[in-house]
Amino acid sequence: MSAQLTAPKQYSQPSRKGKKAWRKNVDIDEVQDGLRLLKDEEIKGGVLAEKPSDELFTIDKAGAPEIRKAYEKQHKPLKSDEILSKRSAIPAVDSRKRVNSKVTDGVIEPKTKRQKSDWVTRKDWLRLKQVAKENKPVNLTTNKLYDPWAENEDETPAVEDPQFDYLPKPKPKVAPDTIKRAPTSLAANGKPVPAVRTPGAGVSYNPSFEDWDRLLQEKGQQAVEDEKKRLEEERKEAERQRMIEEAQHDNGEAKSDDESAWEGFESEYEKPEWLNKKRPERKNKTQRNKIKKRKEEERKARWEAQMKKKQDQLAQAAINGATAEQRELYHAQHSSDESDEGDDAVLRRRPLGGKIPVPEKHLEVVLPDELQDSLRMLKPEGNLLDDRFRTLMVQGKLESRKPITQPRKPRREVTEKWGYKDFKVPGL
Amino acid sequence: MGKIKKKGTSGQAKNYITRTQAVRKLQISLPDFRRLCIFKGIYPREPRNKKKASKTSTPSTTFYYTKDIQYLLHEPLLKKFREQKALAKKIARSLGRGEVGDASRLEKNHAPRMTLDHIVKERYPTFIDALRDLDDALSLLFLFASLPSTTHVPPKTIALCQRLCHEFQHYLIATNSLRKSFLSIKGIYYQATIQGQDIMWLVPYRFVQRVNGDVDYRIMATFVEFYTTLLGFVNYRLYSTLGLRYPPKFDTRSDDTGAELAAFTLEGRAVGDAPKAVEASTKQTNGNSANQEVSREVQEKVDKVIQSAGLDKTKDEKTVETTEESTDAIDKFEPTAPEADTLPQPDLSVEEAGALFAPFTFYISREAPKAPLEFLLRSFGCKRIGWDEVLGSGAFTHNETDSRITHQIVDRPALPESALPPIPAASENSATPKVKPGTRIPGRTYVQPQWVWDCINDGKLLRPDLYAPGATLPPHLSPWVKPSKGGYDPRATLAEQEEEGEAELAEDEEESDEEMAEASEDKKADAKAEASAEDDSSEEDDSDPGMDVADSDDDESDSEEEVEDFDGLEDDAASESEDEEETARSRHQKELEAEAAGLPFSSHGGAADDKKGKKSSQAKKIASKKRKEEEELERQKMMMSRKKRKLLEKMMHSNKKTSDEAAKLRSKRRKLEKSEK
Repeated sequence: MSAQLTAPKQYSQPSRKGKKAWRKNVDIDEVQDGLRLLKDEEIKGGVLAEKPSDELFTIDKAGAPEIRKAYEKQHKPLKSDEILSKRSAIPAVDSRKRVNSKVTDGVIEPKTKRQKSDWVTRKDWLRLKQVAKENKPVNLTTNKLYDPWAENEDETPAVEDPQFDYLPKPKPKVAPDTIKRAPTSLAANGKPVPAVRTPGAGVSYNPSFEDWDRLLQEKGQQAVEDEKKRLEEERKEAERQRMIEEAQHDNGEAKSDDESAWEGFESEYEKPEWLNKKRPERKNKTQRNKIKKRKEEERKARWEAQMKKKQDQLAQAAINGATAEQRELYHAQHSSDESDEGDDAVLRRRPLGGKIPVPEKHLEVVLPDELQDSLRMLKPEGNLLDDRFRTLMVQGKLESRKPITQPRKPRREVTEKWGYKDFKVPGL
Repeated sequence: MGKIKKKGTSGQAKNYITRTQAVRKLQISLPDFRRLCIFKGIYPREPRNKKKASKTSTPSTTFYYTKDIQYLLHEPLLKKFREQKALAKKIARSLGRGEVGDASRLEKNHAPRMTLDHIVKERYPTFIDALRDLDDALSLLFLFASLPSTTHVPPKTIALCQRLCHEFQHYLIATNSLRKSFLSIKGIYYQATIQGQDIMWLVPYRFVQRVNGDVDYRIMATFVEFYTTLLGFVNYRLYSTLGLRYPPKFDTRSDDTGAELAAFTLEGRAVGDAPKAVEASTKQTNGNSANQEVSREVQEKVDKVIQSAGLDKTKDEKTVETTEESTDAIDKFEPTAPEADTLPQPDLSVEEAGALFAPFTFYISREAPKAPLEFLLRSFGCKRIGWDEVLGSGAFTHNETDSRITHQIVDRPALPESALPPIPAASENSATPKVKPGTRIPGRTYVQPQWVWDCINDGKLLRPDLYAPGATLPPHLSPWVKPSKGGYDPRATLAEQEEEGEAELAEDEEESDEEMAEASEDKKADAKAEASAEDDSSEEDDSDPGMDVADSDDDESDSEEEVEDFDGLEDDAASESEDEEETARSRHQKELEAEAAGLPFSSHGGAADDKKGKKSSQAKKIASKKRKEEEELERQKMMMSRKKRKLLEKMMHSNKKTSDEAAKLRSKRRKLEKSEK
């Protein structure tokens, strides 16, 4: 606000032209300036003159940065202090997942006890190693139970798109008929071996004497024969060893030669007897053909004669009406070879593949001193696990082979390194 | 010159493939190939000529059909095997890097799921096929259920096998379809008939299975894996046909305490009503009877309506009903002509099997095998079985003194009082009162375990006094060994298996040389044979009160006799001359004796002369008949080819041997019977 108070007057008139020079137009610049100032101050946060002094003044406690700079120039802080002083007092945001970060009992656990999400126990770790070694990771989810033989309600028919009806339809996978063929039985008579043979009368825990005695005699005879065979083989082997021994001892010169020479015989190099024999002439092709033809005819004639004989016999039998006898005969033929199941004790000579024979069947008979008539005192014979395994082989479902207990390791050659000999004498 | 053909492009060389070739073709490892073959039922084959089939000179190779292997290429399991291999490689890599967590995560989340369902369906297109092949599966699973757990046989597998086996046993119990059982020295044989299929399996005795290194466990484990899947499905099917829920409720806690079969509770699968327990004790009071009543009421109402309507349909309905009733009973096969074959007779019907032990309460003593006994008794209708506490929980009663017990199975001889150790006095606080071992509680029958087996195989209750503890047991006969024609059958009566006129001849002989026979008998008789004869003879006079169920002469043996008569003829013809000789000799002997005694021989035989004459005339008739038959046989023999004749002679020789043996045994038995009288 201006200090001098004068009467209102018009604007100073540099010219009389214009509206400003009119009488009624009073110069109010001063008032307007004042109002503007007031407005400006209000915009800037209030009228300064009206403000309390607290708002207008502050006490400077920070100190001058120049002085600080100058001071720091003289007393330089350590680098470590500098780094440490950079750390924020506010804890950083934790980005790590925690198993149970929410609920704590307030006691800080030691680090060793803290749970790790991907912890694997030692047992599990060993199992994993085994799995990796055996190529056998398996999913141990239990099978869903249902009835596979139930009537299939709806086989969802494939959606046929008329757009692609020119394409040939995929053929269903049909199992070959060979897959249905029964396995090759190893029984000597070639008949299929049942999974569980009906037990004989002699293997009862409390058998009747005759049955047991028959079984014992049979098995006993078999055992004696086997033992004889074994002894014979042993003897042969010993003989062979002896021969080898002898052959090693004599040093290649013929002993008898000198003696025979002394006695006046001198063996010459003469041909063996069979070389002297005259060999038959070689037959040519026509001759061979002729012989073949003749033999064929002879065979045919023989066969026809036999058939005729049989026919005659049959006719005669029909006349005699010996139907009962025929049936009897039929029975006889069938009774000799009656059982339609193979004997799993007597096997054919060659196993299916390979050279390893099927293991021998365990002897399943109670010896006289072990024969008990009480179930409590029964001493079971045989080994069912072996028996089951053997049956599978005899049925031809498995090839017989030896289980590999210790696999062969690759052979490594051991050599001596010669590096230590490759030296140079420094002077030369 | 014909067209030149390349070797190895047709015939055996093309039809067969060696194992190595197969493995290379399928691109899997050999163990995986073996597993796949076992699962799919592909067996090694044998070409007629190995040299022609193989392209190499290696002689020892296994061959397969090329078509089989080609078919294996489509197998979904093959893909799974490959996935397994790939995953195993990943796991191995993670482990190698030390990222164990990764490895375990891979194993947990990415292991392929192997199911054998489709293979079961493929190998056994119908349910009957599966039942036919159940022999092997059951034997193997029952065996594995009783193995001790080792590194090769994990306890999980054993538990699974046990569970499946028990479930199967429960089905047999529920349907009474077990037929035969036999105690052999190897194990216990069982035979059941399910849907007309005879299934036989062998169960080992407890705690005797040795585990040795001769068996390839990986292969056996593969079989077990397949068979467990199969038996699971079979059980499901069997249970669902009965309307039972599968799997049945399994009580792990009672299983831990040794209740084997009793740990399972069968439940109905009905939708509307609550699942009703078909447990042994509650079985009598289940809703079956109510259902029948309802149906009867409905039937009556329907009848009334029909009568009022005047329709004639009632007759038809009745006939339908009767046919339904009679479906369970099977006709017996009776030979129409004497020369016809003996047909295998049908076994027990379901009702008979279910009623055999139904009225009794059994108690199994500590030393008797509980598991097989419980299974057998239950499947033949017994509802109440108690046993000693040491045998496990789940019993009807553990109290040996329980008055409801009618039969006790004991397998220990009665010892004298002095041989027993004194009983510890401090047994007052125990729940069940202790019974002094060896004491007999009145009002019950004591039998040895064999009684159960013999009863089952005979299909009737046998005299228990023959099987009393300490008694010499009759021999345990195999139910599958049928007596051969003309052979001695200890089960049949003497009259049934005697030849024509044999008894009379024997009587004559006995009159003459009684003393001689008696003297020689003692030497000859085997204890076993005697026992068997004794057993059967006593079995016939079935005088035990409350025990006689079936009359002793069955139709079966009747028919057998007829047949035997027929085929025994020519054997008799052969032995007939011998018999004549013998009678002559005996007469001579008598003369000598009479002379020694100082009596005229004629007076000795005077009274019995006409009787003897009659007999001799009869004998002569028989002899002449035999002779005629023999002549006829000779004539026919002339016409046969040499091979057939040889065969016939061989057969006749063996037949004669058996019939002679049988005659010997019969004579022994006759004497025994006579002495008993």
